[in-house]
Amino acid sequence: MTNDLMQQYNDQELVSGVLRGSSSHQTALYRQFSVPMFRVVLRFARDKAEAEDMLQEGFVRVYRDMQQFRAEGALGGWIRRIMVNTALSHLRRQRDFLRDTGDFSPFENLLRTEEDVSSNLDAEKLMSYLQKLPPGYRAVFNLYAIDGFSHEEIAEQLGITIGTSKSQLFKAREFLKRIVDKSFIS
Amino acid sequence: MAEPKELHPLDEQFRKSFDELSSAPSANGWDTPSAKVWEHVQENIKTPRQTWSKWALVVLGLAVAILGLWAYFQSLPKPEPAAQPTPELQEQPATQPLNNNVDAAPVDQNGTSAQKPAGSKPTKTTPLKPPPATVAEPLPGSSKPLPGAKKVFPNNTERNKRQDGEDNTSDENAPSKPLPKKGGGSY
Repeated sequence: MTNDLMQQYNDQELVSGVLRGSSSHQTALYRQFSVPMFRVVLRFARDKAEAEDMLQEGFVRVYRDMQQFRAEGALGGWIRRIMVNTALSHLRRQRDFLRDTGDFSPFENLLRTEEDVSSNLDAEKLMSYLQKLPPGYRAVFNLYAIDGFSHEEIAEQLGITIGTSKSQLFKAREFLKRIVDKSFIS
Repeated sequence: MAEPKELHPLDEQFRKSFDELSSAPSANGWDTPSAKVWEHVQENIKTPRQTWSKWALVVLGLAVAILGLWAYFQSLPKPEPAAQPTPELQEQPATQPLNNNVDAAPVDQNGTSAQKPAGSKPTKTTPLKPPPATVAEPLPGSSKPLPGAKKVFPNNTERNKRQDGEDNTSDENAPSKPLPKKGGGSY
């Protein structure tokens, strides 16, 4: 079954259909949001298998909590928040979630500019770089740089201090620079 | 107050790269989850619904069975009532007195009590009405019996009384028959 053959529903139709228990609406919601939400959880996971676990757990929460959705915003935004929260709770269950992975020269920068390098890299490559980060670095970098959270919000969500959030972000950026640099030179 | 965000060029590049992805999955499938994810999601979200459906079907089946049995017993021919009245019904009076109080004061024609205390105020009492007679004839306004229909008496006492009356009148008017002769019969 391809996406072209699937019936398209708007947000309201999807929500009311899922609340009625309509299997066609449940399938349509998954088909519509599975790919963009998989990209979201891939950023927080270390590999595809872990991302699939997060996606599965997130969609179960979406269907279970659908009656809590208020049509004040887009359905996609609501599902995305659930996915991010699911990914974070998944990471928090890991024992070494915020483990520091040692120091490296924070000012080592062999790149001409970050823009030149990263513009030549596609999303798949950047995703693979993100997944090489330690879980704590990866979570803070995702939340701050891509999802737009502040350090206060990150500290509250992860149960860490604001200083820890800032230091994790700093180290994540330096780590990424090194990975990208190695990739560019090779 | 939250401090303003300082976005690094690396941050911008990652964000831009992910935001510009098309909604369609990539050709090599790196951003497409495997089919087992949806299978597991379906298993998790359909379990309570299936349980509910089973119970609903059981309740619905029981209700249909009960309705079917009820309809079957309703369609069976009912046994006709016995033609002979029971002895208890024959002995019952047609009407019963309304007031069984023996010590009650006699009631005059106006329906008020004849015995009143000296200082008591006159009280309004509703006159006692005689009980409605049990009549065999249909009440005014009621439907008439069909032509040729058998006249039905309200109860056996009425019928016995009428039969007794007819027997008395017939005995008085009819000539007496001679008694059979004693010893004349051939046994």
